[in-house]
Amino acid sequence: MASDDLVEMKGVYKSFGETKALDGFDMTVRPGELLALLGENGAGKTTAISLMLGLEPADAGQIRLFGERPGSMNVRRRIGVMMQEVFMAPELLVHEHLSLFASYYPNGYSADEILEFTNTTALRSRKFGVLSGGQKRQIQFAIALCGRPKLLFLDEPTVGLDVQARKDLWATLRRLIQQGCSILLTTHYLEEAEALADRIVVLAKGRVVSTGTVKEVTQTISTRRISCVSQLTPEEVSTWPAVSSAVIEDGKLVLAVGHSELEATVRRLLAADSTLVDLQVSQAGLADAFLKITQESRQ
Amino acid sequence: MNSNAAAVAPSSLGSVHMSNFQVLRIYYLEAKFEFIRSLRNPGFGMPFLIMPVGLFLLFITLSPLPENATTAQRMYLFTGMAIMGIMGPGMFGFGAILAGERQFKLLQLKQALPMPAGAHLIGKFAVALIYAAATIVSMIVAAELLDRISLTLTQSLLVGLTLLLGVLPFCAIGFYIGSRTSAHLAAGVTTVVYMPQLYLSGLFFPMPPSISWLALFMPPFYLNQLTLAAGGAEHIFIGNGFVHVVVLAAVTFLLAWSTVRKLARSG
Repeated sequence: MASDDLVEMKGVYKSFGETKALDGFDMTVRPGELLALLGENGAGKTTAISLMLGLEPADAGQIRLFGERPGSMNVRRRIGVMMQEVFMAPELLVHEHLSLFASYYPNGYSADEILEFTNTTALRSRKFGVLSGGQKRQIQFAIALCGRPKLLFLDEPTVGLDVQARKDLWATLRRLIQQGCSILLTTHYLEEAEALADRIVVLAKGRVVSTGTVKEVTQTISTRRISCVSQLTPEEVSTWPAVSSAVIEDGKLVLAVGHSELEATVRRLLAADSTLVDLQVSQAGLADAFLKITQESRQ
Repeated sequence: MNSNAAAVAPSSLGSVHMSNFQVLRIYYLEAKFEFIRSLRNPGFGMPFLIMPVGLFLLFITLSPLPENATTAQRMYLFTGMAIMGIMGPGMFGFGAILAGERQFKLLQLKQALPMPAGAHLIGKFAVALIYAAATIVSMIVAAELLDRISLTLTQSLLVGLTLLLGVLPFCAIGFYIGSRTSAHLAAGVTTVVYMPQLYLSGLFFPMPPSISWLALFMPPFYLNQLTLAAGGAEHIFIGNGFVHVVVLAAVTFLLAWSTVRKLARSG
């Protein structure tokens, strides 16, 4: 590992009874990068994060954050954490929550500074209990930032956010990265990982099944994507041997085909529908790659 | 977003040392916001502050003292009601709240963040002491004004201090339950533990001899006898007063220690 990696997990195992949550898990987080940890439900993402935060001990393997053991006070004073569905006192005002959490850090921000930074100043004097689900997530994100973290753990940060709030959060993440903060993000929104991540780790059955940049991960699969406006239906074309999936997206017929079958499939499409227009061919996206990788890992 | 990006740049990997003052401030803020929270929740603060005094005044009216009442007769209802009053916030208030915070991962979040171990619990202990102090002072004042008790200033201070410290074992019982039950079950389990203690510790009426030994397993019994002694009333000591203090301290320490260990292990 590079000595300046902020997180190093090497050969980590963790079981709960008979269930193997992590099965020889390896991962690093480098300075100033946003790493997206992807996986289906039950793949081991939450367990991996719990181990990194020192909330659970590993059965075997090595885990280091900032070169120290997880959960030490030196580590905790350098990280920010946003978990899913955390209960916060509904009676307290937003700025009171922020003041309390900022006090845990040697050089935490004032409530007003962090509210301004996260574009949530309008919520300053509202009781936490009356906030909407999305607003609660925004404040929990602000709490994660209030200690000037060098490393940020974000677990599904944009669930429940409206479009503007999601854009604001993405912009804040990009700014944090520019300033040198490292971020470990878990998300089910693959477009989020595609838009933000420097690197991706795909986890299945407690093991890393793919890792690299978005481009590298998507190139590991040879699938191509064909979209067009056609009178053909997904049911018709999905019976063609080269087509692995066929759906209607935004009024267009969208097919996924193997790279070697691309030309033949395009010819067949044109032959089958003389009215076909707006034909486009592209490399499969991260969503296609993720589906294929996780499907393969199940087999 | 703002233009002060530089103002919120992440820290360098330099010092993460905190001064003692900064650490003490965390404990202070935990207690402060717990207290504010309880004040804003009328379902929490009011019953624990008003109920004991209200019930005490009701029972005084219903059971007037005989002429030439002894100190024990004067003190009996007072200490029973006061102990019932301080048991409430510790056992019900904070135990049930802790169960919710644990179940819905607030404690896990605070464990992952740099909150000092125990700050959360100590904050709740401090608030329980504030509520207990308010209950004790109001009951002593009411009892003195209505001539139900007649204590010297020293006795009043001793009785007040005994009751104040006496809230700690009940907080520890509440926390123990809160660290091991779900938010939905905590209140029910607490009631199951609370009610027998009220009746089997002889707080309100003497126990039949056949089951009086059960009082030995009830922390309120030990506190009640200490409080009666502090007020100069007839009392029963198992051994001596020090034994009572040790029993109450042991209950507090063992249950608080077990709770902290449980929370540190699994949130």
